[in-house]
Amino acid sequence: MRVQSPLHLLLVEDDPADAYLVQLALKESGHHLSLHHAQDAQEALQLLQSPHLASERFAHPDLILLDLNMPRMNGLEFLKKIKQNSALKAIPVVMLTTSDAESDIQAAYQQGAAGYLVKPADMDLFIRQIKQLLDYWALLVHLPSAPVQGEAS
Amino acid sequence: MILRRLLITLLCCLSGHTLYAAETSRLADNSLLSFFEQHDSIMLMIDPQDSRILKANKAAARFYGYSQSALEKMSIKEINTLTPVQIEEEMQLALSEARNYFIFRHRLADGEIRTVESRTRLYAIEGKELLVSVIHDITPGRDLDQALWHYQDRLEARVQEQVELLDKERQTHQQRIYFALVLQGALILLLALISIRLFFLKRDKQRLLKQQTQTNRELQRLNEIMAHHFQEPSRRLVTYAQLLQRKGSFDYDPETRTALEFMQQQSSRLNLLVHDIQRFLALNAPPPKADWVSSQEILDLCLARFEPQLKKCSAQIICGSPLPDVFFPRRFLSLIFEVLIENACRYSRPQVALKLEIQSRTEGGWVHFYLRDNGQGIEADFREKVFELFYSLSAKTESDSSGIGLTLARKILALYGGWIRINDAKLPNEESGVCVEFAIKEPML
Repeated sequence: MRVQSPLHLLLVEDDPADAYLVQLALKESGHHLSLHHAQDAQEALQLLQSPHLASERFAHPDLILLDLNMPRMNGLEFLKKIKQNSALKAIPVVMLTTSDAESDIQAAYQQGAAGYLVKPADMDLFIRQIKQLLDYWALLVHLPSAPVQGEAS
Repeated sequence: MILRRLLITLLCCLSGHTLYAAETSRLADNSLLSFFEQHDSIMLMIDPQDSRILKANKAAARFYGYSQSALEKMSIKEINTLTPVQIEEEMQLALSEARNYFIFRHRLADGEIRTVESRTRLYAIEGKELLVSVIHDITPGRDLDQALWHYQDRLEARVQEQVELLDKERQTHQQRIYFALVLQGALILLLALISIRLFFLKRDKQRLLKQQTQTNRELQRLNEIMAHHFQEPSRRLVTYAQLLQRKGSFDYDPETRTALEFMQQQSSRLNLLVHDIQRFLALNAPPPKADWVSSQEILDLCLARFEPQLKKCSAQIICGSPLPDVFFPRRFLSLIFEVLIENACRYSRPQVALKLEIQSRTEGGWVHFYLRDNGQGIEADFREKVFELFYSLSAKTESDSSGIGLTLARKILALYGGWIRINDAKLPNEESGVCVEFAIKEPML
């Protein structure tokens, strides 16, 4: 049986209470993960733009889980910077927030979010949602890359 | 010398008259004034500036029945019965007929009217211009030709009537013009006042609009704060209370467990309240545009979402024919169904399986939806009250209701011209229950 490499996640969350709940849900999802937690958007941006600060895998995570409401730089501003950076724009970003406001959802997708998950109060439901999210992205990340035309033998 | 010239002129005025030749030679020797005074012909000297009679001879005094001195204090206008307009017309007529005399009607002292022939010329006498009129009474001739004079009288009367009519019309016309001018002035004034009022109203409207925009912006901001700042801690409280319960650490201590249950219950309620208030405030934002949506599909999704609650009530969903497509925002229709299904579950009777019948009817440009259940029912007095904000029929400790759901549904429907109400059309063979009816207007094609 082939052992799949872990899914490298970067969690950008300023609130430790929420960060704990997300980590708990990730742990209970049963996925093979490696997680790095950035305390805010600026720290996350620094990490992504300066690989020497972290190991290579966190400088290029498979998925970023991003909170919306953060001090100094909010989630949407961070997302915009990521999508404007040619080296980082391919990294999928999923919003993980409490807000289900239509304006926030629309703004996130307009900025290039790959998904938007409203954190429920019910922990069991949250775990299920996180599991489904990771099932989907793990499948995508571990799919063999399509051969580039002309390189196929 | 001047008077001599005058007398010669007067004789000229009398040309064609039999007196002319005889008098010319005789008067040369008499006083010229005496000639004027003594002559049998009626003569008047008139000031052309003010029509005053400056001099009248004895014949004139005899004819008019006034003394000479009385005549010399009068104006010719007091004698002539014609109006200034008629005099003007007569002058025009004489000119067109190449006559050197005028025909006037003169009033005598006793009030009798005589028709006279007036031969009048303008002369400069001692540096002053004077009108000298020689008057011939032609009235006696009337007796000779009654028919002609009758015709003349009729004609003059007719002219008089026409002149009076014209005068009257002119006066009426002038009055109308004055009235129209006054009315026009009043209208202009009114328009000016209205314009000023409109200007102030427009200014007030703009100010109020600005205030409203500011208020809306603040409400929007409050809504965002509700979304991000209030909802987050309330959600965390629920989750952490749940985590504690899952751990089972306090199972051995009933008091702690009860306290924990209360904590979880209250945090859930706080979470629900914050969430519903946020949804309610969000309705102040510009409403989304309506679109054609399948109400059956939206209902099915809602039923699937509420499957755990429905299962808990052993619910039986009774649907008639498929629900129609409606012109309404999908998210809002979904919210209305959610509120109603949630209420049906929440107020179902304990130990009695919930029956929920969902039907629709299209009639008169409206799509009516009916959701009938066999739940606890609502007394008639409270059927309107439940649409008020934060009004709940059950104690807060017993219910997880925020008291916003039905208010929200009514407000959403009102935004698109629809309505919602509750009636007592119970399900057959059921002792209690409610029927919630809401209607969505079909778009005008």
